[in-house]
Amino acid sequence: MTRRLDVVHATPQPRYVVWELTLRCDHACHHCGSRAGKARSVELTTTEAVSLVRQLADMGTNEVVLIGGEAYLHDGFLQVVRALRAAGVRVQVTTGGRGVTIELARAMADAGVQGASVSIDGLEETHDRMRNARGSFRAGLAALRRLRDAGVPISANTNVNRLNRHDLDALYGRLLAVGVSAWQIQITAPLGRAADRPDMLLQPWHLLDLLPRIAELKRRAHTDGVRIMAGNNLGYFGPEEADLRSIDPGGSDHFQGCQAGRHIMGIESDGAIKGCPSLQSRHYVGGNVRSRDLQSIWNDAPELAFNRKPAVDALWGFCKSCPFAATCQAGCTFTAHALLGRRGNNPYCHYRARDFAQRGMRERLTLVEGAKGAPFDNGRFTIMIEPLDADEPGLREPDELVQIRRPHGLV
Amino acid sequence: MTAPSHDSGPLQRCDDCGGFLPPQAAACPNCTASPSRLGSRLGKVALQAATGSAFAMTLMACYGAPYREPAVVERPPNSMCEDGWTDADSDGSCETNCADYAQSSAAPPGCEPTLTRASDDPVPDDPPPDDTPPPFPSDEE
Repeated sequence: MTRRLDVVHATPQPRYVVWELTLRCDHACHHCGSRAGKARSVELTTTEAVSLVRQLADMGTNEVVLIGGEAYLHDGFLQVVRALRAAGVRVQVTTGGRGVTIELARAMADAGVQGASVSIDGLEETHDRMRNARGSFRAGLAALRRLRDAGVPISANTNVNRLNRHDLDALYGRLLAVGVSAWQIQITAPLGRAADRPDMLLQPWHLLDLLPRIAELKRRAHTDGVRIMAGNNLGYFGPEEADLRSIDPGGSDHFQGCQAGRHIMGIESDGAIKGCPSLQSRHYVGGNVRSRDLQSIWNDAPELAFNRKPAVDALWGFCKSCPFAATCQAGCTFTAHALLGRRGNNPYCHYRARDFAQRGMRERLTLVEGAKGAPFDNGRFTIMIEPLDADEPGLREPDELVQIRRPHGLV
Repeated sequence: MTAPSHDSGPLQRCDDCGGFLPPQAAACPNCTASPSRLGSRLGKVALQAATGSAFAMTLMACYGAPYREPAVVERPPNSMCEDGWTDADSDGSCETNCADYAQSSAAPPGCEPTLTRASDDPVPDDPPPDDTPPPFPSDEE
């Protein structure tokens, strides 16, 4: 039972599933890709969700991560956990932690939750600003302690962006102190509410500094017994690629292309199925389990199949001529699509930023088309090439970085 | 359903910078070193191929959770407490509340949720109370 496998030769199977149980949430984070807050209008009932568990198990799912919104705000949260465990599926939960009481933590442990990852998006000031809730940072750390004390193995995840990129070292110290065993770091992509706030996003050249720092932090964390894992949209193929991607020091893992629809699947709370939980709903939902069985959606829906054959022909821009094209295939699909309106070209790339930098240049992303305001939607950016040492206009205060901004200015 | 083909093969690594080398690379794309310097890495790649792990990857998703092995190493309770907090009642929890005193005559008056610190440092603001449902965000945008 593992999430580590030969992704090239294994038959496509939804081994790792991320399941949004409800879109209802007790946060309204500025960077939330699903624009969580209110429940979707027709979410799966507990009975429907438990029924879906059997289909997942029959299809060979090894592990499910329950998310939201906040998964614990679904009436059947603990029943779904128990059903998954009874079906032999490993269960983790990703949460903001704001409503994790001691009682809930114990109930999660009793139901069989085998790991909880709490979203901690910076030090206190930054985290509370990003997550749009004063007290959220303390609530997140309290949730980690309560889950840990209840016997649930704890980890953390962080979206890195312009607000918090300098918080990572200090944040690591806080996470170490509370006892996390793992930490997933990924880039805030312009999806959902983050698409409305382009000023908070990293520019591609920020990766020149960020990735070596994270690799160094990972090496240090290993000596503390903490495993830092790079999210799928943090890469690719710079000198630190093996350090970032491997589980342990000395490993030679590297990115092997987006696994959406190959070994990963996402479930939205209304039963919509897509190849990865972060993919844009409008473009990548392949069907709904209320009207079709999961197996046929997985097998037959073209929206889930785009990664099942080499995608080099679908690459464009820099990624088409990149020496790593055949392996990388433009990195994370939802991130590329969120930036440029379609997959196949991804400016959030360390190798690419280094390549431009070696020529004294850099790429700047500029929003030219706003998102419409639906869960998992995106706008569109254009790429401007400028000198590496160009002025950085408009550096603003943190509160300004999270303001909604449309292509023609501040809203 | 068949597995996708993969035409790039396992990637070798550059001895100079540690970066990966694409197939048929004339030089390392990251540091421009010649591939003739690959030598010591080739054995490792061959070993990976032989053990079937050359194409192994850890499945991740940005809304998922970091990979961790099922087994965890438990730490002694007091060593888990953060920044001067202490496990006063040795129940494995750094927080003290009424539930911790359910079987004890040492319950404090009123049994209010309390937090115990190991030092005289200023007490931080209380975290949200356990029994109060968190406020829901109002509609935005």
